[in-house]
Amino acid sequence: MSARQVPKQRYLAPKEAASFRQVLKLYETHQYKKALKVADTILKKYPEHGETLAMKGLIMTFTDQRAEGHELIKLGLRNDISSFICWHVYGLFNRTEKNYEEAAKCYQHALKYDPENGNILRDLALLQVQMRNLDGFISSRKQILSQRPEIRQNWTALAIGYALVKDYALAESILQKYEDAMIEAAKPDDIEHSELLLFKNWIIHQSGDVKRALEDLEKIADVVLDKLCVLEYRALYLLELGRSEEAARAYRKLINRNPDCKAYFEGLEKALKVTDDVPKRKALYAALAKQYKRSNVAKWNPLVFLTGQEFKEAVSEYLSGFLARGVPSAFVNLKPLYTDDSKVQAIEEFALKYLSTLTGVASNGSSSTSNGAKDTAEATPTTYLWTVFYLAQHYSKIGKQDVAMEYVEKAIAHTPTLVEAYMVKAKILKRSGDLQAAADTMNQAREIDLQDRFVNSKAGKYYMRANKNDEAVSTISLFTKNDGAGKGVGDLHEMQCIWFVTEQGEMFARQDKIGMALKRFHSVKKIVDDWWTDQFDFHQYATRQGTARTYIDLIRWEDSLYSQPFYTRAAEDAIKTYLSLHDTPKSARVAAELAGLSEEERKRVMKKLKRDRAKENKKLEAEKLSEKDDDPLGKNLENTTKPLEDAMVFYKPIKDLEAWKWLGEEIEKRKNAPVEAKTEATA
Amino acid sequence: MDIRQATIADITGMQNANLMNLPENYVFRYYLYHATTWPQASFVATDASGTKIVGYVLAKLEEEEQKDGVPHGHVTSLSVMRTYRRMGLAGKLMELALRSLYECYGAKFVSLHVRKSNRAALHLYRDTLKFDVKEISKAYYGDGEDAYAMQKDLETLDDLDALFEATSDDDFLIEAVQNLNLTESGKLVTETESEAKTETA
Ligand SMILES: CC(C)(COP(=O)(O)OP(=O)(O)OC[C@H]1O[C@@H](n2cnc3c(N)ncnc32)[C@H](O)[C@@H]1OP(=O)(O)O)[C@@H](O)C(=O)NCCC(=O)NCCS
Repeated sequence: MSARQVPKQRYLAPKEAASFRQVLKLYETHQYKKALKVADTILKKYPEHGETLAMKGLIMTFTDQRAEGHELIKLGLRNDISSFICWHVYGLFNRTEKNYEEAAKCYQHALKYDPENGNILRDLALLQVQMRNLDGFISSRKQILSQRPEIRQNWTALAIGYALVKDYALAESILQKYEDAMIEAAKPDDIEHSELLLFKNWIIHQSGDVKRALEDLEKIADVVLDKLCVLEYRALYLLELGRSEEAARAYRKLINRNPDCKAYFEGLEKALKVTDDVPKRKALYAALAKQYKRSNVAKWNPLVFLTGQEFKEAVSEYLSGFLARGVPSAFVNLKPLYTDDSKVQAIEEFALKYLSTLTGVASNGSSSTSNGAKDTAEATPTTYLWTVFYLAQHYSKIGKQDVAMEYVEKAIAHTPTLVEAYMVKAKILKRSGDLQAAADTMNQAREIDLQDRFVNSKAGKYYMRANKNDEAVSTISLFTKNDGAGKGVGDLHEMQCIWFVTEQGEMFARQDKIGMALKRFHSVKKIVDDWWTDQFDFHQYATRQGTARTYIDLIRWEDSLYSQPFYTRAAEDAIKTYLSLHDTPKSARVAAELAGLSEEERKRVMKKLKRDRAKENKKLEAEKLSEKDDDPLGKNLENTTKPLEDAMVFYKPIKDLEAWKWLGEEIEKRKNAPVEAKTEATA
Repeated sequence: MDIRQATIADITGMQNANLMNLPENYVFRYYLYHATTWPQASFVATDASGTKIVGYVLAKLEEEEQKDGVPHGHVTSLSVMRTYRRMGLAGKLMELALRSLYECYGAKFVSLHVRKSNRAALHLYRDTLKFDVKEISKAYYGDGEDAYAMQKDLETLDDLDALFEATSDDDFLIEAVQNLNLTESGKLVTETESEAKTETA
């Protein structure tokens, strides 16, 4: 390092200085126990030595002595405030605390005392990109690159930085410089190299220079291992360049590989310029459907753009295909068309007509010809089943639950072991508002196929909708490990099962178990927070792997993390719950229940309330999420004295989203209202 | 319905589908590890909206180097939401994943495990996709059930692009569009003919 004078407080005799270097090495190789021993020998002679204290503290934080370790780190820093090691250690500690802001400050201090330290610079860069301080990130990566230009990752990382701020020209020139200087030729099957070539190509395209992107693509096409990507990029570039015939061929090649990818069909339509021309479009799909018999998209797409008689014909063919083959998924495929009333009408007419020909088969024992050969050509006894099954879903979707029920009963009468039929019946009951019967029916479905987790999950969900927590938990626990605390509930938390945690929270909220509800909503937030933190390790990892495009995707996706329904739904639930806590504090809620009762009745009610609560609480206690869960009922959350501030914690991540502004306004309104005035409850 | 390569934005949907369908589950981080290490290997099927994941295959290159150094792929997880099953999604997802493992990562074969009692999956792997049973792994699953360890050779995969170049005649398609009703053989499709077209099951 530098020849700077060693300050007095940092001086170690040669023997101890060697020991200190040993501590650093042992720490890096995770030999914590040994490292601590050696550190102690130094401290025997130099008890005030800041860097040793800091290192010892840091190691202790890895050996389950966090608090003591933290103290030592601070003490070490105090004893040697101008040591880059002490600052670096404090930065590392803050990083593990996820206190990124502080950590970055520490690294910056450290760099003041050792500006060329590559390790610290690298750690700082990681924090900067995590905090989306992209300018800072770029400047750190520049410095790292100038120190170690022989390492490819350093070039990749800087190019990624420029790509993240959309400075594609600089990003490209960085990658180009590396390529120009690259001495060693890449191995032929080097996926990392292949990825980086595509990264550069992507950058050129992003810069808007499609022509050059295509030229570059043709140059690298033979070396790149990801053939699919080359085909996809080529098709897109050709299309954008208006080279329609070649683009059409490129998209056909893609369809040939995967005849169920919508984007390819869209590309082909554009290349052939048929998007706005229904007859041409129809002819195109007829030809494609013939060639790609297994393609669902080729058959399905025309259902969207065809209308009237043409739609009728197309949908008849589509639906009869499903019904005759006995595929239960006909309805989920046609469901998206149900926004168009005339299509709904046409589907209904066809399905009813189709059914009548089938019942004809059933009653005559011979094939009826009155409706044309086509309709009955492939009719089998199960076709009848799938047709009534379809009609049940159809009528349920359009709100005729009674008719739907008739059809589903026919399906069940025909095949009493058909899981799908009970699932549909349960849905019909749910839509009719009979949540208890819906849950029981879904459970019947589950009992027919105990091996299938999907129907098990559905049964759990339906029980929760019917406010049956016990049944829900014991059902879902049939598919969880159950070796920790809290049966399946703990496992599902651990596995980040957001649908379950949210449903359970909403159930508790409906049942006025405010503490439990809040606890679940906080769990959802914790899961999403963890998904945010998870990206940290990939800043470095993805750069090393060369998967830069995926990494940039990751960064952009993480930026939209909290705007996604899995978060906003729980956030809305939580905020509403906190608002109601603010509007009607617990005492007021109890008072409301007791209003208008005589003194004696009151006492009785209170007693019963208490007894019920105690019983219920005991049961819920058993649902600890982990051994460490010291508030399984969420009492601490419920007893908050600052519900509006707590609501803000959920609101903050979505405060800039137009769709959720109203939630913020509800919170603000209450903050500004005079304390005694009671605001109208929102939830 | 749409089938395509999985992206980062699909991970939470894959995780959700996995939790709905299978008892072997993974945290977000593990999916992220897959995605940033083998971005080409996993595929998803979505509903018509294009955002809801209804099926996925999570695949990777086996990390432990084989003794003989032969790179091979592994299918970590595959499932389809029950309401979307039996229409071929799993088979198509698998085919795409196998091709990627072969092309991008040079996998010579691919391996996977399946519960002995899982009829649907067994049919899919053995009969539809032509996997072989290599051995029975005793008590492979958490609940004690045995697994079939299955394998498929990838070096026999067709070169789809070359076949396409060699055999595909695009003109018919372009003509079909330009002249509206031409069939493959260049014949005009009449209304009755197009109606009489029957589905192949
Ligand atoms: C196994 C699973 C992925 C199959 O998905 P899918 O999309 O329905 O499968 P496909 O429609 O592509 O069917 C492929 C083949 O398997 C057959 N098959 C599907 N389900 C079947 C069943 N329940 N019984 C018998 N065969 C079945 C199909 O008929 C088809 O055969 P074919 O090619 O001879 O026509 C799906 O059932 C599932 O998600 N199950 C739960 C999760 C699971 O078990 N995953 C596999 C873990 S190893």
